[in-house]
Amino acid sequence: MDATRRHFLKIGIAAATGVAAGLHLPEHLVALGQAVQAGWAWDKGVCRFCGVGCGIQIATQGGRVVAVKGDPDSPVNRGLLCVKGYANAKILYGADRLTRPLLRMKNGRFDKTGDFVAVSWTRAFDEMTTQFRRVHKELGPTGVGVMGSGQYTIQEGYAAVKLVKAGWRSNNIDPNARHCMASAVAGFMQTFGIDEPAGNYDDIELTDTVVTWGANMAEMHPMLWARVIDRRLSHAPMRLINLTTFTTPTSAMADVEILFKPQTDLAIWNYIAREILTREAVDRAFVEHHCVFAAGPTDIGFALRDTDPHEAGQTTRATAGQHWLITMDEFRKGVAPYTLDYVARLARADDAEPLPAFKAKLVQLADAYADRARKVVSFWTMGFNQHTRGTWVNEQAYMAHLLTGKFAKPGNSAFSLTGQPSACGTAREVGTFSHRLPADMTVDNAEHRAKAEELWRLPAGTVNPKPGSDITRMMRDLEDGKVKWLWVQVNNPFQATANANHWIDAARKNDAFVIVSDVYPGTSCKVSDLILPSAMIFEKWGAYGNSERRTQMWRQQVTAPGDARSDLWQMLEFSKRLTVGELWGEQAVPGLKAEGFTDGRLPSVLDHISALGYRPESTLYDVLFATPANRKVAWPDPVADGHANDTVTDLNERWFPEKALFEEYAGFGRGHAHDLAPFDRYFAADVRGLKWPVVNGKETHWRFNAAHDPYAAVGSGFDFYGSAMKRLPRGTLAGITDTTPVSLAGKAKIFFRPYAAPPEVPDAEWNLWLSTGRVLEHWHSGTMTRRVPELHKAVPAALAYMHPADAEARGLARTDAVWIESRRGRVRTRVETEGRYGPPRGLIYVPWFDEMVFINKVTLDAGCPISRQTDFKKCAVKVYKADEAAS
Amino acid sequence: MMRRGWILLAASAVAGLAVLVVTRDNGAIGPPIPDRELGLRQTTLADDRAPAVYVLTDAAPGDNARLPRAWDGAPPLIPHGLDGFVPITSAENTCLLCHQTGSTDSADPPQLPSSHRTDLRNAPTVLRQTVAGARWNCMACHVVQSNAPLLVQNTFATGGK
Repeated sequence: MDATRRHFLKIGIAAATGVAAGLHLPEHLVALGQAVQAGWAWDKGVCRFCGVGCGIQIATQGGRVVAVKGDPDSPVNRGLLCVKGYANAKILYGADRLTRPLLRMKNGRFDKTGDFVAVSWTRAFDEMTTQFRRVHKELGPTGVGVMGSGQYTIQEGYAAVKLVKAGWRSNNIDPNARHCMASAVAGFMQTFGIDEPAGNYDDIELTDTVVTWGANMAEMHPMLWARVIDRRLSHAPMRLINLTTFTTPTSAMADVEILFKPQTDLAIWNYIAREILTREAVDRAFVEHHCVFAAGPTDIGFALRDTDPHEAGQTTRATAGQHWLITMDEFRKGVAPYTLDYVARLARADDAEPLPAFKAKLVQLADAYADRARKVVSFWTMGFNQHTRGTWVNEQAYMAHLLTGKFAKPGNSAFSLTGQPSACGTAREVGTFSHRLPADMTVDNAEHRAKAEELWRLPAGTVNPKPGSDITRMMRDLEDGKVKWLWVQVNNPFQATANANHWIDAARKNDAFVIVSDVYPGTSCKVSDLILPSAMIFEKWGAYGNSERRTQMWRQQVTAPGDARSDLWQMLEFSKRLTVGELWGEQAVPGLKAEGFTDGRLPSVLDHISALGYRPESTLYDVLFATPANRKVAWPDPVADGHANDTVTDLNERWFPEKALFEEYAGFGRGHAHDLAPFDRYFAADVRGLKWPVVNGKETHWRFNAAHDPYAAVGSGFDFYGSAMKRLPRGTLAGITDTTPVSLAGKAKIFFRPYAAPPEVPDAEWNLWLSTGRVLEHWHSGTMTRRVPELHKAVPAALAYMHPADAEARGLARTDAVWIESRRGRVRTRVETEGRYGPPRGLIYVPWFDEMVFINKVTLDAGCPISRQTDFKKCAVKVYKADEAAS
Repeated sequence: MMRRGWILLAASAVAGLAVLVVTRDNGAIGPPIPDRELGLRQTTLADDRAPAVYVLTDAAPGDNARLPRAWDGAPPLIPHGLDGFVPITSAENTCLLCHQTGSTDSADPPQLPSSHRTDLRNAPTVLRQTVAGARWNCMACHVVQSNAPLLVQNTFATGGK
């Protein structure tokens, strides 16, 4: 075999000939090595992992996934994948996949103190139903709950929302996306009145500057970082500035690294705003025509329990999200104290860095924003969102971009990066939150409820107007005995939630019944009562929506092992067990207070069901899912192109749930600035997802910009048409002075937000900051990636990354076993003073992927009171030598 | 209500046992699994242990055997240590000093394949001499391995060949 052929075989990029792959590769990359890949069937899909949403191609043979590659036709990643993206091929094949339902039993009966025993699906649903009825009888709709996910497919999330809100009349559904993106969402809603980014990834190729704020993009959004680096290497004026609390690989590739003390991002933004004003770099026309200034209360607390000492004196906790209009002069007064000198002293993290040098970097940062000619893209994720003032700091990013008019324009973008693969597409757009309905609607809005009841064919008054519990509060409810039936789907909340000792105890000790649907046994499974084996991505049909509003779909490629079934099947099958008769009568909802409702009660709606064609014995399956309209969406369907659908087979039905439910859901958003294309379009050979709103077949690249967004009023230039919170009273920095509501239709808000210290800072005893997060190789709680050999062997354990001087001062050497302890709990791991992270003195970093190094036992469940998102980046710990412990 | 509940419970227990005996379908199947045996932690949630000390390979680059690829087209693992070679900055990429010499001698370090010298976004038909900008951060796709034993086996197998 000649060298060229061997060389191309090694590359292993398949030719499209004879295989319906749709790969469009240039001539010189078309491989000669077709013999290797004969019999491989390629189909398009999306990566299982981060919010970048890379397009992939999956190869199957003999009913198994045999390879994966980046899709050259995807505008997102153009044929590239990171190391986790390639792992999509292996994540299905860990040897301990859950394949049978597992129920805790003793003597043939469910017993919370028993060991797990494999049972049939029928037995599993029997117990779920028995327990649901017990709890619903005792506590009503607020006693049951679902912890859902930003990794649900769009269809799974929609089915869950409908089941919980229309079926059970509960609002206790909240996703792990609360821990991920809630502050970003609150920032969007307060600033623009509508969720999700204005811009898209193409801004990278058009900009002059990328500023990463508390986001280790090189590891956490690697294929977007690849685009940033590409631009940096090819566009001479391009500059990269990385603001971070510890040195990361992103710092190494940046031109400027600004190491700041946790939380001082708030002050740095105000310094930038002050500079923009001082230098008269404001885009006056943009601000005058399209913006207003706003402020809100400041002592809003930390989303802790009411009785927590940190909440004492926090006088505006109840009105945390309230805000009002202020003048530009008031705004100027607000930012006035944030001088370079004040902010530099407050923010500098590394005492060894000379103050003048640190100041010079802050000036460079201000230069980038203030320079009219320089385009800027700001990126952020968890550093801003997992923050006790997360909503505020998200708003500050928009503040700087709106002041300078560097927004919603090609190359100028304040871009909130999404963590999970479908926090946008599912959790946010579908509304799998305790206060939400689809398409940005909320349960506490009578018009929104009426709209949902109309589209869902429910009697008026079915939907509960009282928002339910966010995920952290749901854990507290579990502890307090207020929630006693909990279904966890597509996430690992007992490992993911801060202050974890409380919740793992709550699951085990109270008379709650906890069900965990998962694919591998993890921490949440260990504390549950019933484990349901679930199908993974590519073992089912699905759709995800990424950070840039790109909705992408995939067909089922292979079959799930053993008795594992899709989450969609689980919900639809379980919905056959309960009837409207037992759920739609009068219900107690403590604290319910809404116009048209008796305090504390949901009315019976059973008198109105016959007009809709329902009977008391109609099941939720009949009423919510297998509706006459949905039954018309037939299976088989040509869009399947020969691919199976085990959800249909397992339901023993002839209708296509993934398509029917997608189209039903899309009905909420079409015509309301959330337009999705028809289902089949996403499977067209030339489509690699579409950025909504998709209007007349065309996707929208820049929203609110009248030149690009069909929803922006013609001739407006920019139209911030989001409608939420667009009537405000007026006031000063101190408070409201005139309650007459003023309309802000079409405008965006420039918020003044002050610096606020975190609730728990290091002191003499608890003398280190603890920051937590991920590493490139592992996803979240590690249940998938730690079962992929290459990823596990690359980073086998979560270590405590620490400055060598901090280690030495504590008598610690590299690789010593240590306890990391906070006021809430402690875990053991080993010290690492080298490697890819460089914390400054006073801070340690511990990733959370490791089931054994259960770092959330140590973290604090304080959060942003507006968004209810936990701050996983800041609490106070001490670190000391531990006995060597076998592992 | 309570009484009815107990009667129903007793009845279903009897029915369940009967079904268990006859079909083993609606009751328990197989031996009980204590929760400490589930998952990667291999112990209870109250038992916090430090991980073992794992070491990333520190082999010098040069004569290392190439590690087997997961499938044709999977990115190769790095068989040598990275001491002194990382971090990659926007000005310096030490990997390229060995892996982008243009050598065609198979005894030399493996060279960037043509996929890495093609800019699929901006100039897809052009084969460059040097790495495409989007591929600059080698560490996004290529990882080093440690001596850590697997926690769980993975049954992935590539097809063909």
